[in-house]
Parts: sequence; structure tokens; C-alpha cells
Amino acid sequence: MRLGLKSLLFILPALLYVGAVLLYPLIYNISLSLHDVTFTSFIKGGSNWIGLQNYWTLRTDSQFIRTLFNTLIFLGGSIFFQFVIGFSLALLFTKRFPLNNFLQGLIMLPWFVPIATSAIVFRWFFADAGLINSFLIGVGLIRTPINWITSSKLAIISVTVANIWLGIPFNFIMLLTGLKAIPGELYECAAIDGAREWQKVVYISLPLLRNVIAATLILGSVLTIKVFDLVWLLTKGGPAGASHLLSTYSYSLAFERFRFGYSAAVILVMILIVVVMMPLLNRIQME
Amino acid sequence: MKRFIPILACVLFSMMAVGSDPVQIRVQLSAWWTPGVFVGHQVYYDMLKNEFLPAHPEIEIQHTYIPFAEIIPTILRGALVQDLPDVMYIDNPDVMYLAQAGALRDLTPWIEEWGQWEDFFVGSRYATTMNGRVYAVQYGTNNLALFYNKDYFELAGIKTPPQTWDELVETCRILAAKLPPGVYPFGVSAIDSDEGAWQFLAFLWSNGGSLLELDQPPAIEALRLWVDLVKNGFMPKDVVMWTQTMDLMEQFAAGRIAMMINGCWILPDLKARKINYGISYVPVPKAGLKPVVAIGGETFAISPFSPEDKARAAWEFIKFLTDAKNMARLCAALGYVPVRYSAVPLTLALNPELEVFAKQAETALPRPAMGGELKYPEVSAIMRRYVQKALVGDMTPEAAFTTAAKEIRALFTQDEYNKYAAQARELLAQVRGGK
Repeated sequence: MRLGLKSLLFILPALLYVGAVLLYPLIYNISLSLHDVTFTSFIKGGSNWIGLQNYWTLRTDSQFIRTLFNTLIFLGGSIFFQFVIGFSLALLFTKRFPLNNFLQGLIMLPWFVPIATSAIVFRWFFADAGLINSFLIGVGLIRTPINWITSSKLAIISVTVANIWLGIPFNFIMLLTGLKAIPGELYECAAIDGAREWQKVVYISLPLLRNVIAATLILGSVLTIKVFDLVWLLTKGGPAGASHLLSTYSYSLAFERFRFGYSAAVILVMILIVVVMMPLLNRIQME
Repeated sequence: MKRFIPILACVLFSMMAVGSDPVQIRVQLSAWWTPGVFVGHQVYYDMLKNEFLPAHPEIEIQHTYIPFAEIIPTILRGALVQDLPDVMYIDNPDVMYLAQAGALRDLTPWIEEWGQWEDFFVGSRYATTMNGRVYAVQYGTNNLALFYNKDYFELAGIKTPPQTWDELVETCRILAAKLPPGVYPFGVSAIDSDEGAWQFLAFLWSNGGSLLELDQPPAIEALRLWVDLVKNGFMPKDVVMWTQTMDLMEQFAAGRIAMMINGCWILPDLKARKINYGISYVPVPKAGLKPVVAIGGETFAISPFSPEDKARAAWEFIKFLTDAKNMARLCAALGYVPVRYSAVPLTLALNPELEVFAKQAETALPRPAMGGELKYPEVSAIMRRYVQKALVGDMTPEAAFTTAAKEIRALFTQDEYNKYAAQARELLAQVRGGK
């Protein structure tokens, strides 16, 4: 198909839109990251050009290294557990049992609750004097409260757990839809041949779900790496930056410390991670 | 003929619209001021409805509300596109760099015309002036004090609230033994925002410490006080998550902590909670010293991009709220201390509880001047991060503040650093009487 003038005119609106909404902010961001931008120069202009110095500083910024580490834990932990739990639930819900539909609705609830509300409730759960600690102390499992979100070691885990809860409905519904599309006869044939339940899952469900799984993982990854409000409202990246993700760290750099150039550099690292991740995830689909 | 009447109606209608257009100004306030959120702010709306608007029929006010933490980002975005609300509500330490960035209108000619600037507190005038030009007007100030639960004190047999740091620790010890389980003796706000920094300053400055010299003993002692309180279980680690109004006050009002450091702006709501509370000065390191707190309170500023008539209307609005008698009434209802010498007695007469705060306000210090002026947001960010690291036990107070001091020093050139450090020392010496 030759790209004649007529064809070009047809895609022009879409091109303009992509250019304005995607390219321009990206280029502006890159430009910001190559300058030393203070509060004043952000508004009035006249920032100094410093080339790649912002990126150079990233190497020795211990908070940034910690943030990278946190983001990887958050990303990996969220996707893995969301998928495993979502898939297990989806397998369960392909069977018929009383209240199936009602319970499906309940599982979807975390998706419908506003994230701000979830974050505040989780903050109450995880507090030193919060629900989880009160329960564990009351039952006698622990003596002193566990610092779920006030310990620099546990904070990122707690935040990941909260995100897992939030992401299960998405994985659940995608995988359930995929599973329901597999014809039941395949399972019957396998059962006749003496296949056990786990063999049915591994040899029938998983291969046929390949595309659905790829889509779920790709969408899930993109949604997870963008997460900001959950972490910001739950721990504000604390204590002392122990649960900062790339998204929250760059926000705090820009709007609390007014280091706009440096913040843009952090954001570009985040974009780079996504750019690298996408082809890897796509390969699941390819075979 | 059929078309004549509609056309005539349009012409008449458009003539009416052109005739007397009231000037509409946009007043952007923090979300705390949304009607119905806080009891005290109702007086502002009453004053507008019953006094300001009738006296100025040519002015219309449209309010917008944004969360306190979003104020700076919102003004930032507005300044970029040169579209800011006519009246902006700004926390006083932010005035300096907003003025530097050109986001605020120079009010000096109107201030001089008004002729009432000398009645304003020296500290307040300093906070809203840059390079000799005035960019904002403060409508009230607030600061911190020790709130204590009188019922718990009676339960533990404590007669007077602690005045010194040693007494504070001792009181916590007594309370910890007598309080029901799950109730902590003491609480502060150590959240990773300027709120947490501002709370810590009350202890740092009262001990003679400086934001720019955190590796010196006075600063480390202040941090050690907080860290030991957490280590001994007198203060929950949750303080690193708590804001002053939504969390700390709620915990106190629910009887989960017996003492707290909090500000006078919570008074109107605390009173509505029916808790038996008392107020005392911020505890000082040793008997005989004066508590030194930071200047709190917000200001009103005008957008430099507003057309002349809107700017004028905005100025009328600000003048109304900061007129001595109006400021006195507004502050009494909000739980603020007025920043005009003539207004303070009026407010105290209306709300005697504010006396501790009014006394402390006399020697309160402005944060940017004490912390590197334009670089204050970064200084504050660094300090509060290391306060948190020490509180959760990741670093000792010495290690935390030594590292913090190094990072802070790296923000300035040697000359700048010496200048700002000397300025901070001088200001502190002035209010502490050279101690």
C-alpha cells in the first residue's frame, strides 16, 4: 500500500494528536532534564544548560538507587502476585457453585473503590496502632506492634501488598474471560484420557490463554509502573524515602524541592524502563 | 415583523449586559476553607456576606479551593501560563520564592497609600517583603503549644503540665505507667512535609540550634529528645505519618494520646469535641529559657497578571480582611493570632485561650530567613528526611544530622553559606536575649 497524499491526509489528525499529546511533552521533558531548572527559571525562563549532568548525579544519589530498587520490588511483586492470585481465582470461578456471580461482584470491588479511599483505609490498617496490629496483638501472635509502614524495611512491602489487592480484579476478570472462551470439550477429552486437574491447567488452559496472559501482563505492567496516588497517600514515599517509587520520587523532587531538571531525569529513567520492558513482554505473545 | 421582536430583545439584553458589569475576582483558598469543613471559617463567609459585599456592590467574589499541599504546584502551573487567581492564599514561608519567580504582584505603592504597615508585626513584615518590596499581606499568625488531656493528667496524679524537656520526659514516664493500654503519653507530627519540619523547629530553635548547622550539639540534642521519646515508647512511630490537623488532633481528640504539640488553628474544632484539654507553652530545654517557634500563618497576594480593575478589587478585599478590627475578629474565630499590634488585645478579649500563642508570636522567627532564604524548601526537605531516619531507628541522631548538615552545606557556595548561617545565628540571638 503506497503512502500517497490521500492516505497521509487520512492519518493526519491522528498524527497531530499523537504529536501534541505524546511527543511534545516527551521532548519538553528531555529538554528540562538537560537544564538546571529552579523555581524562578521554570517560570521566567533562562535555565542554564548543563547537558547530561542531571543523569550523572543520579549515579551517586543513594535515594535514587533505593528508589530503583523499590520500583523493581513493587513492579515484580505486584505483577507476580496479582497474576497468580487472579489466575487462581479465575480457575475457581469457572466452576459452578452457589453464589458464583455474587462473589464475582465482590472480587471486583477493589477496582471500583476510589484509590484515595483505599489508600487511607490501608493507612489505618497498617498503622502501628492500626487494625492489623491490634488483631495480631489481640490474638497473641505478636507482643509489640509491627511497623508496617513506619519501618524503612517493611514500608515498600506494605505498599506492594496494598497494590496487589488493588490489582487482583483486573487480572481476575481478564483471565476469567479468557478461560471461559476455551471450549469445554477439550477438558472432557482430557479427562477421558485420564488427565488430572493440574495437568488440564498446564497443558490446556495455559497454552490457549497465551495471548490473554500477554495482554494482561502488558497492561498490568504499564498500570503498575504509573502508580502514584496509592503510594503518595499511603506513605508519601516514607519513612525517609524508604518507599519512594520513581513516580513519587520525581513528584517530590519537582514540587517539594523544586528541582525540575533533576525530576525530569528521573522520569526519563522510568520511561526507559517501560520502553525496555515492552518488547520483552511482547515476546510471550509472539511464539 | 416576526423577526423584529427577538432581535429587539437581543439588542436590549446585550445593552443591559454592557451597562454595569460587576468586577468578578477569583479568590483561591485552601480546601480547609470550604464552607462547612471547619467551624471557625464560617465567620469569614459571614463577614463577606454581611459587611464586605454590601459595602462593595461592584465586586463579586468567586471562590476556588485546593488542598493545602497543592497550593504551590497550582500557582506554579498558573504562573507558567500567566493565568493566576486574582487573590492567592499562600503560606508565609513561600512568599519569598514566589515573589522571586514573578508570580506575585508588587503591592508596595498600595501599602504606602494605605499607611497602616507600621502596625504589622516586624516578623510578619519581614516575611512578606523581598528586596524592600512588599508582595503579600498576612492576615494572622499561628504557632505551636503543648496541649494536654486534663482527665488523663488527673488519672495519673499530675498537677502541672511539663515546662522543660526533663519534665516532659518525666511526665511521659508517669503517664505511661498509668494510662490504659494503646494510649501514648505524647505525640508530634513528623511527617515528611514542611509540617513536620515546622514542628521540629520549635525544639531546635528553643535549644539554640540552627537549620544550617545541624551537626552542632544543640541540634543533635533536640533530635535525641524526639528519638528517645520514640525509643521509650512514649511516642508512637506513627508520628512519621501524622499530619497535624487530620491525624495528630484526631488522635488527641479520640483520647489516644495524652499530650501533643499542635497549633492554635485547631482550637475551634477541638472545642467542639468536648475533650477536657489544657494549653501550655512549648517545653524548653532548661528552666528560664524562652520557647522559640516559627512564624506560622498564611498571607494573601495578588496576581501580577490581573487587569487593573480586578487587582484593585482584590486589594479592597485584602484591605478589608486585614483591617485591624476585622483581623481581630477573624483571627479570634479561626484560632489565629492577629499580626497587628493594635488587633492583639481585641482578639485576646474575644478568645483568651490564644494568650500562650500570642506571647510566643512575639518572638517567632521566619523560616526562610533562618534556613537559607530561597533554598529553604530544600533545607527543610533534607532536615525532615533525616529526622525521620533517626525516628525510625535507621540512623543515630548524630549520624543522621551530621549527614544532613553535609548535604545542606553542599547546597550553597561557601560565601552564601557563611552569610545565611550568620544571619540565622543573629536572628536567634536577638529573640533569645543573647543566650
